[in-house]
Amino acid sequence: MSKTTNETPQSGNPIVRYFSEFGVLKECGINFWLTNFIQFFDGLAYFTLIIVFALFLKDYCGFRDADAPFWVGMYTLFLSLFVFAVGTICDIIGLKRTYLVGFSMLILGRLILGLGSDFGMRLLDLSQDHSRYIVIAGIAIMSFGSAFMSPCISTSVRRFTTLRARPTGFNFYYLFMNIGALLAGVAIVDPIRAHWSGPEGLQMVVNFGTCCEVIAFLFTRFVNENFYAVPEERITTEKASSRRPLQLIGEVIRERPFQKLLVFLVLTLGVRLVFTLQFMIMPQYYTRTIGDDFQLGFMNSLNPFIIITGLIVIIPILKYFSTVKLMIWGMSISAASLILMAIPPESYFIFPGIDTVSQAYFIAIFLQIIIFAFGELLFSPRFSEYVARVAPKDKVASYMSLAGLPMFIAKPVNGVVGGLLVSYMCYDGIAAKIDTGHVSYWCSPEFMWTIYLIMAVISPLAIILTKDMFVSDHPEEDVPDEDEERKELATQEAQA
Amino acid sequence: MKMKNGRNLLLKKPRHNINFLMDTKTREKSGKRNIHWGPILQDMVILMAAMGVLGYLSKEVMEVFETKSTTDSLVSLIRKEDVKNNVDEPFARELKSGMKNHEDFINTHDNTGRTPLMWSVYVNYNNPDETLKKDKTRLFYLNELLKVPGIRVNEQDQDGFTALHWAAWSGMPACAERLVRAGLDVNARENTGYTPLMLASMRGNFETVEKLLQLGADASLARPNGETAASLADNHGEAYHKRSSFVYTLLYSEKRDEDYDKVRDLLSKPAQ
Repeated sequence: MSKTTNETPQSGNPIVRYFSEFGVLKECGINFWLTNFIQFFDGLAYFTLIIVFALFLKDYCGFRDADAPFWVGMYTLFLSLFVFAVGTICDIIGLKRTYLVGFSMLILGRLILGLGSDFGMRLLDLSQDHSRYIVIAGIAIMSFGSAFMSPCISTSVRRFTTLRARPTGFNFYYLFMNIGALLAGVAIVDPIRAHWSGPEGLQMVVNFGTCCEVIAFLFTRFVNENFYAVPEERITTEKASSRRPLQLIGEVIRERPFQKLLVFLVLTLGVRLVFTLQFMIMPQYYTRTIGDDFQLGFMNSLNPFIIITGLIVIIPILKYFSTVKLMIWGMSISAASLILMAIPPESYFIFPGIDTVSQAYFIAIFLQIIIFAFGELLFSPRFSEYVARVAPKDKVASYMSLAGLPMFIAKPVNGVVGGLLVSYMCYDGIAAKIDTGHVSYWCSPEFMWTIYLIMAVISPLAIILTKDMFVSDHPEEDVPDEDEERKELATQEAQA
Repeated sequence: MKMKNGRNLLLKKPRHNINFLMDTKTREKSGKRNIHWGPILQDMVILMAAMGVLGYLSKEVMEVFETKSTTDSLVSLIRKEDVKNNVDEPFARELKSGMKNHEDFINTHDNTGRTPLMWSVYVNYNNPDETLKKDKTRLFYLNELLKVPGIRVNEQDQDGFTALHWAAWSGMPACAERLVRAGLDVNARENTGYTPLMLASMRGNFETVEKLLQLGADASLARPNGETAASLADNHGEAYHKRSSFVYTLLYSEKRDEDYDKVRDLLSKPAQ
């Protein structure tokens, strides 16, 4: 069957061409599909939480204005760092045990989180301030559990796919994840919040995620961890298990290409931090400028919608363009999208049909998300590809797993900056003050976006200025077959 | 990181072998042997410690600039609205403890100048039905706060809003009535001349406009630029009606659109 797929002449229609690739997945067994279901439900739980997380911490758990984005930032930091720490464990203790440990912690953490500060206040008679520590403990436990998922699911996809089906397997996994992200907003968060308004709705969203995790956990019990689609890889896994995260750092830190890469990664931080704003700052921005009952799930679903469309239609076209140029374009477009929110809303009144500040905010948000996602679509895949290219051939996986290092420092900084900016320039009740003309530009959400715009614009500018210094080691012209390399990269990325 | 003889201690050969954690059958099945947990756990501890330090330092930096108020916890409990059988225990406890520990706790202004009383009558919903539901729950908290001895109901925030301005802007008629009965001036002006009636009219909060008029609000008052409650309702109502078009459906509430018409009708009556 899969042979037929290969022999079928390539269709001119990119959608048909994209989906025709999936025919090869028929040769993957039940374990591959179980893994995708696990990923789907775990993804649904993650994306539903991340959309409302800052609001949940503020409105349900009683965190301060600055604290809520800060702890969302810390959650993402915990998650990245724990992934880094536990990445090798999956190969050592086996898939099912890793799933068991991971899901146990994840579900426990989520249960604690779902109770919010109620557990401390109602059952332990603690004050609101002290009850928050229980919530923070829940966040830490949950992030530790979550950290097991990503390496474990990647290992599963790799293990349960044949060499031929692997790139497509990872493509499918990425597509399925984005479908989960799309559904999380429009099909889960918005309907739940429409039914249960206010903080109760937020709690329901978190608890819905916990149920999804339980379902995902049940699927893990049916996975056969001893199945290898490529039996020879059993030995490779054994070898790989001896590599530890800090050992990896020690191995590559003195290498010149890695040092160059680190500088490059630091230069891209500005725009990459803006990627995290979507869940750190945006929910408060939407609800405070437009209304608490605003359908923020819909807005959050626009991004995965564009990514899915882009995966199918745009990405195949982009392979004809230079990686570095596309990265710069992607960064510039994403950064520039913030201009839409940085200009005063009254500027939009020159357009027909925009008469009020709320309408202006809505249009600004909508356009920003669309343009930003398009930039991200150009940037993100090229970014991984670039990291793989500058790495020596035998260290691609190490370089890719260490590419997240600068973000470890940047995430808490972003949490602090985001939290403070929200508390000063996008505080709860600002809509009333905007309506009555009490908010000057320097104290407005627009100024907050201007600050982020400046941070984001630094990245493409710095890359353009230092292009020859940092990004010319492995020009893409040296690569003989881009298609083959991309497929290989998908596998290496997952291994990393 | 400590270095010994030019080598990173973290990279030394593993000392601990706790392979016994895995049963023999599993080891045979998975084909994994000689698992050295010591260095792995060591790495994890180092990474977690690094994370803890990063988090702690970030929090310390934030503390310097963070805006805090002694009433933050009380306000968050009001917003949570966790009333069960006409009692909210955590709220009552927080109020009691705040009153005990801080002088003039109940009248404390936060960084935007708002007191707990003002927060208790603020919500921001597009859908008026949602606001009216909240009006009932918030009345509980408002009554609790008004019972506190020493509460000053006429306090203003940094822009001159009283609690009544917040109730009017939000669209909470029951709370607005309670505030007026507690002694708030129904025609109080904030710093740029808006009265509660003007704010309610501007937002198309029909029930609140009706209530304020019943309580003696003066619809003829004007801002320095000549805007009145009626003109505000006209301008904002017209703009709101345009939201019914496709692009803005996410921002549109049919009830609010109808309410704008009712407000305009109501405000045109005294003029006739």
